[in-house]
Amino acid sequence: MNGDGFLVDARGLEKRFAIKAGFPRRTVAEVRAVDGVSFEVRRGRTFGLVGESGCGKTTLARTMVGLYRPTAGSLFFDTPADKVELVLELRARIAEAGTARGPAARAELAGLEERLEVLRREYDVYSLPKRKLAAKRREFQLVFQDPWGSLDPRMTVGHIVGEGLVVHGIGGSRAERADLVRETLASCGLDPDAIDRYPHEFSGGQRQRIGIARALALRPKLLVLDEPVSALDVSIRVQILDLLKDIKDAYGLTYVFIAHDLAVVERVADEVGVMYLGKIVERAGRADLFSRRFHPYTRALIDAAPVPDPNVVRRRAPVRGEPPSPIAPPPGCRFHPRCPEAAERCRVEEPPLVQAAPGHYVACWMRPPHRAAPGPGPALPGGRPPSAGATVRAPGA
Amino acid sequence: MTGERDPARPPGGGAPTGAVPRPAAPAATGDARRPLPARPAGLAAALAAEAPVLDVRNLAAWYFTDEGTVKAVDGVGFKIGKGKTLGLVGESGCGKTATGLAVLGLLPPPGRVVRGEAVLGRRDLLRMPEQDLAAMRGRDVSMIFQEPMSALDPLMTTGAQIAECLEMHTDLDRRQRAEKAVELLASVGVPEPALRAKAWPHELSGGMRQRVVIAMALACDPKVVIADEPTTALDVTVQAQILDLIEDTQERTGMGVVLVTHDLAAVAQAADEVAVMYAGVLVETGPVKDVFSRPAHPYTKALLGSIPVVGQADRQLVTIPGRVPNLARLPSGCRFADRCPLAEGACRVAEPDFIDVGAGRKVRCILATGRAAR
Ligand SMILES: Nc1ncnc2c1ncn2[C@@H]1O[C@H](COP(=O)(O)OP(=O)(O)OP(=O)(O)O)[C@@H](O)[C@H]1O
Ligand SMILES: Nc1ncnc2c1ncn2[C@@H]1O[C@H](COP(=O)(O)OP(=O)(O)O)[C@@H](O)[C@H]1O
Ligand code: SF4
Ligand code: SF4
Ligand SMILES: [Mg+2]
Ligand SMILES: [Mg+2]
Repeated sequence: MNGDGFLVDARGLEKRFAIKAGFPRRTVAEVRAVDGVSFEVRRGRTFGLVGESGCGKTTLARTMVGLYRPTAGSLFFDTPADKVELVLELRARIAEAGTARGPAARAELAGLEERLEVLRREYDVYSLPKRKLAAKRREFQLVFQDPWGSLDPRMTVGHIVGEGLVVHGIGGSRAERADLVRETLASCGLDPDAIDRYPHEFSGGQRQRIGIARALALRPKLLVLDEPVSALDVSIRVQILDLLKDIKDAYGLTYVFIAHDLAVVERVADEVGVMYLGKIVERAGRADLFSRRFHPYTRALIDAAPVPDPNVVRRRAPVRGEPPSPIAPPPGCRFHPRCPEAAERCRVEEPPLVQAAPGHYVACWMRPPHRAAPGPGPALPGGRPPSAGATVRAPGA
Repeated sequence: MTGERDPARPPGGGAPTGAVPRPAAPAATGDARRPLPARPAGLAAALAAEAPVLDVRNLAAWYFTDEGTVKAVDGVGFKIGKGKTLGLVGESGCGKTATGLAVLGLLPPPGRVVRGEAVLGRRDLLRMPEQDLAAMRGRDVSMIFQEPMSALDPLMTTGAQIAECLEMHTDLDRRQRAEKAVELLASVGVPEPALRAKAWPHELSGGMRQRVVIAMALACDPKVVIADEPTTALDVTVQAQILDLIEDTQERTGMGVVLVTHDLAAVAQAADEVAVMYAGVLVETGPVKDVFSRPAHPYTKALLGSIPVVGQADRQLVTIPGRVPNLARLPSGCRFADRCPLAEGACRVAEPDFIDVGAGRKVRCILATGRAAR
């Protein structure tokens, strides 16, 4: 299992934003945009992350590539599996030793903490010394959500795509850099001569290609793709999905692919995490997640997605209301105000993300291991897996 | 025949004629290949068993820009029956919004309606004094805009904005208007409506704002609502709620809806008829069920094949190369030819006619309608 190893190992990532108001300005509230998120991404694979607007996807993406400093957590990038294990073990022992008293225990604790610190400064992106971080940063790049807003309109495409090369001192001479940019543009399906043109001369799909080329120019190991196709038309969406597949193979990339469309994630991801209000509520291999769809929120997302088949009767909206504010998340399970299965316990006690089946993690009191798994719904046409409550109209008429 | 259909099947790459199934309704064969004769205005409506609530004919609306004439809408026609929904679909930039704006007389300069009719009741909206049209807007026909914030006045509370609509079109007094506004907010699923009536637009979430815009559009029980991408900016769970809301209102008041969207799935689930638009013209229209199960136009097929669907991850998505042409510099012949997998020499000679193929369907493609028709 560890043969190919993890390229990314995120542990307890947390990012809070302070909301300031008044005079003198002081913090009046806190947005818990990302609230304790852990996941791993295997080398060469794609981790898909889905969730509704405002659940913290972009914040997580920006935190992952170091654009935000996390409030807590660590990110092990390209770290040997045994070292990650060691870190986890040290953490567990520190937690244990922390409750013990006496000078011997204190000495042991200090020793453990020192060992952990050494490992973190070696491998945890957030603890790396500045110079090491700068070098490492080149290896993970972000493709931004908005193909319109993320490109500086006053810069030429060559400038935009080549900027990172300059920053990281890659490519030697100007001419060599220009060649590298041209080559990257071509890999992204753009005319290499686009180098002298400006972003406004391009369509949305082409701008998305420019954004991808900018990230790819540095020849990173990981691309964090923040909704790379959400803003595009269906036809252009397929073109960009094709491109992402091609460059992944060509450059041996690993992806974190963020989307709000489950159907897209099902196509691209090997492993999927479903996010709600700053937390991952379900995480599993793609096939398991889509066939079991344990969490009621995952079910709601799948059931709410309209199907392009008039013979499938649209279900009434599976959940009510909208996601609550992450400034004051509801007590207990964060999904309980909208959950069709909410019970008394859900309102007071927050369900932890625990293993419900091998490799399948769920945070819900009504699911394994707390309860038995729910039964499947009726079968749907067109190879759709069963989904709770969907009805089928007789074809024809 | 209905058993083996696969609505999202990609178009075959092989023999052109085989890959384009003809509409299969047996009744269609008689008049299927005959080009549609020009109908005298009003005749179609008079003949129809149930007169449409809105009948748009041969509408053309162009933007006269410095770079040239952008033919955003270039001869578009459709009808909506009472209580029915027409899905107007197509990629962005193909003229959907311009169609809606033109019908309501809201086209911004340099845009202008250059021909056509939009008959609502007995009157042509496009040939009406602005004063009369203003009176009809909101009362008889209203529009829900793509971006809810653009439809709301940031300096007025939501309740006051709805009350203002009511003031224009009803003779309710001040207090009744305020009460009705709260009632309307409640009816579109806004929780704590009395409180939200006092809220400013920026204090509401996207879904809540869209509900307010819908409450305004529905305030006077219009006969027709043009909903321009009403759910595009919203999350799927909220999208489903908004579609429910529109459907419920329709059932209650019998309003006709033009659902403008680029989302074919939303059309499949919410519309009765579909009109597929490409580069300023309609390329295929008909009952949703028939068009989705047996799409005739290569563009419709490709669009259907390009949608990812949960549970069908193994199906290869159809790639449509290129993009919508510049509407100021249209190619000659079929507008889709540059992207069409079946294009041949004849396609580039003249623009294909929009031909009635029977069973309530029309198609603009020389291969789908047969060369005999030309
Ligand atoms: N710089 C910031 N300061 C304060 N709050 C922020 C900031 N950035 C994001 N937030 C808040 O954090 C939460 C998560 O935002 P984020 O942009 O990560 O969501 P998202 O899942 O990417 O949403 P979308 O699907 O709309 O892109 C939101 O409530 C947002 O308002
Ligand atoms: N105010 C305007 N001035 C000039 N051209 C415009 C204007 N608004 C839209 N257009 C052009 O008209 C065409 C159709 O636009 P639109 O109706 O908004 O398409 P859709 O709603 O299908 O995305 C596009 O080519 C667009 O660029
Ligand atoms: S814990 Fe309770 S409220 Fe939360 S998702 Fe599960 S059933 Fe619903
Ligand atoms: S007429 Fe147009 S749509 Fe039809 S086959 Fe020719 S190019 Fe394709
Ligand atoms: Mg985002
Ligand atoms: Mg539009």
